[in-house]
Amino acid sequence: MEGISLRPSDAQAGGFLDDADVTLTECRFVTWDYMGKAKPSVALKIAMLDEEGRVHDQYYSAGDPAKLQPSADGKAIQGVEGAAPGGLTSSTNAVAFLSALVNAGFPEDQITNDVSVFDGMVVHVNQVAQPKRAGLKNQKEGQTYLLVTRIVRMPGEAAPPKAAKGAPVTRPTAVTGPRPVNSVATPAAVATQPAAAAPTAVAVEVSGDLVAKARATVMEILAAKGGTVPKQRLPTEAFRVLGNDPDRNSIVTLVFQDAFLAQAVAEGAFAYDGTNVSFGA
Amino acid sequence: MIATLRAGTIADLGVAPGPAREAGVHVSTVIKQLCRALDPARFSGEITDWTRIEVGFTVEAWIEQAWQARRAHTFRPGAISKDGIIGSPDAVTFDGDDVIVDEIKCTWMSSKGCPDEKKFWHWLVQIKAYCHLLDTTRARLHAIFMNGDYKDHREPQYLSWDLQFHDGEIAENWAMLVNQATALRRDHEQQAGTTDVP
Repeated sequence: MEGISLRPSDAQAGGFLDDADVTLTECRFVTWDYMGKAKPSVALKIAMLDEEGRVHDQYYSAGDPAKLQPSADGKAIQGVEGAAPGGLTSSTNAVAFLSALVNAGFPEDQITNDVSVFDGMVVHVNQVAQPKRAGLKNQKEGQTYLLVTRIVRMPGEAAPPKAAKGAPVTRPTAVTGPRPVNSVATPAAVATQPAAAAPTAVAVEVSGDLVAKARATVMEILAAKGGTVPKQRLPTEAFRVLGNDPDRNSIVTLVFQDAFLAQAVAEGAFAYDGTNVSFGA
Repeated sequence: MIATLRAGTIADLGVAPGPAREAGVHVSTVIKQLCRALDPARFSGEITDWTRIEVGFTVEAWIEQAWQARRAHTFRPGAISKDGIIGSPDAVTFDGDDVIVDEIKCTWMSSKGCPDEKKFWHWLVQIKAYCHLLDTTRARLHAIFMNGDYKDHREPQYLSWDLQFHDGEIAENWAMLVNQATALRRDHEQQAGTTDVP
């Protein structure tokens, strides 16, 4: 007997999971009695593997066993002889699950009667409020079911982009141009970096002119503030003093650097007592 | 009309080239290493979804450009380093005598629980690191959640927070990063040593 179409457009419960990426490890139809709490019904059982390696079995009601039965391998459901032919009942949770998959982008034309086509998919799932259904007794307020809200990876798709989930955006490693400003290093810290060397020092280049201009800016600030300024306030003051100067951003970045100050102190340009910067000796 | 699908990617648009990075240990590298150790299932593995990365980068670049044009007291500093660790904050705002770290995020995570939930922990580690680099305790997190909270909002959602840390939090966070950076360098040195052995 041919399996019944699983296409939502043909259409007439596990551990608490929400807002998570999961792998659909096995999708099968089963007969399910809600752990003895209800009379048996046909359900779509989805085994979901979460990112912590836990398996959550989710059951989605599919229909009345008087009319439908799982196939021997569970990959399809079949109509019971004598029952009226047709697709799944549109109001079932199984159809809600399949519809959510299609809405998330699973091509409907790839869905026939074999539910194992979803095996291996990686999806994002969320608890979604269940609609009230006419004619269904004992409906509780605020009931939810777990539906697919996004497809992370289709079945058979290559390597999982694990870092992409929830990871903050990071720059591609490709280098396509110099940054306008580099950090400055103390002479001892500047080192030539061999390829793939241990990242120990800050290898940067800042022009001598820029360093001189930055020092002059600090001197100007010190002069205006009576000779002493808290180190913490130097960047703010530099930002103000430099106004629309084209080097403003580069100089303020330099002034933020401990190494800039350390070098200036070492060369006698300023004095620094750990809190305040003042004119050098 | 004849429409031919081009074999291009969003990266080919060249909207937002990745900035060059100075050699050395970066805040992001240290945090990544920490995250891999603490939550390998989530943070191990190679990034293959470059479209998301590029989209995120593009969004950040647009915001930075908009700020440059309209916000006189905000600018993007270059890389700043302390204790051999380099950081590149997205932007800095001068508010009176205060310095505020601006961090922009573009994410497909749900906005639910941001910024306190542990899934955002690495964002806060990064922001606190930048606070240390800039000698401030104030920051602003600007986050675009591409799919909102996956419940009430499924459209892109922009949320922004003022963050005020205390000195102890900043110092503790930095000490953790310095320790991790030291371990990272040690690993590198050991690997280099191993390579030299015939």
